[in-house]
Amino acid sequence: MAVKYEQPKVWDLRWDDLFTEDLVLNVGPQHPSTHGVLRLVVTSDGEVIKDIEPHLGFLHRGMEKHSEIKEYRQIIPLWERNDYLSAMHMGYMVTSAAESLMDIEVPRRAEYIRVIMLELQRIASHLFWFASFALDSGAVTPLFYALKEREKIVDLFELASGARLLYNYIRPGGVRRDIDAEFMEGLAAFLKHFNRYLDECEQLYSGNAIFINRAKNIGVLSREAAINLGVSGPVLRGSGVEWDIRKHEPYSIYPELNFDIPIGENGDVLDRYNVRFYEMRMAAEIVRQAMDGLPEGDYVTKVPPSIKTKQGEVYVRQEASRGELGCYLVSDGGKNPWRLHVRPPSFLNLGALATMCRGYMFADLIIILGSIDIVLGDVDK
Amino acid sequence: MNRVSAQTDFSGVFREAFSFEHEYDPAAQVLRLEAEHLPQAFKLFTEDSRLKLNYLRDMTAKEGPEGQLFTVYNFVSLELKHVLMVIARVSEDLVVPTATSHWDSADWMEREAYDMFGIRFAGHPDLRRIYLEETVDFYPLRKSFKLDEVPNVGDLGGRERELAKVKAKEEKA
Repeated sequence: MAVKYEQPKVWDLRWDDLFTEDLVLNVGPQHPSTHGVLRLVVTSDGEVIKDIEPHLGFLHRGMEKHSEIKEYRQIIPLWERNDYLSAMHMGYMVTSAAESLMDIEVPRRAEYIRVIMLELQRIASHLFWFASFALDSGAVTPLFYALKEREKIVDLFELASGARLLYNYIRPGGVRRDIDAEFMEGLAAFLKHFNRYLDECEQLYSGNAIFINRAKNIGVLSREAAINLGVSGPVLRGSGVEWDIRKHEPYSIYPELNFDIPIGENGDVLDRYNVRFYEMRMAAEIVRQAMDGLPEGDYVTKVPPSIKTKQGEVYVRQEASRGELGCYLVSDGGKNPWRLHVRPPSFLNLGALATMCRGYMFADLIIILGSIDIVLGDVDK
Repeated sequence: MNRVSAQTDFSGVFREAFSFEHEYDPAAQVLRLEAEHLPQAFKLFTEDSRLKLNYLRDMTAKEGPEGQLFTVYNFVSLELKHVLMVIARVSEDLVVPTATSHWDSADWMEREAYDMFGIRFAGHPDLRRIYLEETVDFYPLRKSFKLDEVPNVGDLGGRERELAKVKAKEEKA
């Protein structure tokens, strides 16, 4: 088969012709660093990883099939359990797919509220990633710093929607409840200190020489490999590809907002780390802009309780916390979807793990897996 | 719905390159063809400088109203910023040429389509079920597989109802 892409030749550097027997090691499914129930069968030559074969499906719940017997409004809370760390994005995914096969106009205020929630969710999800990634790389303190900050966002979500993890907030036609003065005050207070908080985190961790030595030039994924393997989100951008759906295939009110896309250089663990940190800053900036421009008016348009969509098929996508979250919806004009397929970002990002790890030491496996930021619910659907 | 930055009309390219029957809708950016012609189409997608569809973002399958299976591919060119959806009709023997020869992202997605629909991909390096056990003998996303007829799910509901009845009786007594 023709070579599709070039990867750094780490394996060739470490390989020698001394014969040693391959070691096959099982990691997981019950393992604290696999972030859920993931089984990795690692083949290694001594301590050097030769190949990895992930086994999926321990958490498979058949959500696509269940979606076919439920109505659109019932599907939203169902899919929020898919990627429970960015439930707002999952809710928005089903909503935008249904809305693009309906003749309704979403009020501008609702679009602004949605973007505020989506970006806050991105910060919350990245903070959780920071907590677990730091744990994976051997530091315990950042966990408390990150979760303390995430708690403030979760409190804001509770104020707006009443729930702390799975919100069922974004729905066809708009959002479930309007945001009030108390929410806006809390949001302003959060944004006021958030950048300073990130500076503190970066002082604490990003500039740490031990961490940099640990993360630099580890788990390199080349630009061509990243594109060919279909990875998305911070992993793709960490490999130096300028591709952000919010910018290049915009939805909602993103074209009116002003923000940058961070891009890595080497595609190593450190680049993915820095990309996520910069994304948090940009997300806070987007929230600030959306908050300033928040128009008055309705927060939801009138939609019948049981939604019917037009006949047709559509592929909608958005930039979720972990990457491209796509939804392919086929409707026969009825109350429930004929076929609803979701392209989970973690699934394809995990598919690049074997390519990323080949040639690196066994001890690097956990930090590389941590840098991909998978949620097993999202991988297994 | 997403706004696409470049809306290129490929009808000229396809008419020139494909000798077989195909249907292209430039407004929706959808190309429909028979699955047996996919290798020719894949070659064109990667090699033609007017297309350069280098990123396979999504691949799945669907079942039509008459039980006819289709595979669905969503491409994007990260360089030229245009998109294309390809819907291929699967023949009776349920064998489809693989896309892994051009895009590695198709590897797991084709395994998923095989797992859920039973479509076999000719030339796939490692075609096994990805979510379910190898011993499972059904394909859950086919319309012939009815969710309310799965024994476990039904049993559980019945068992719960029985328990609730027993409990209600106990409370009365």
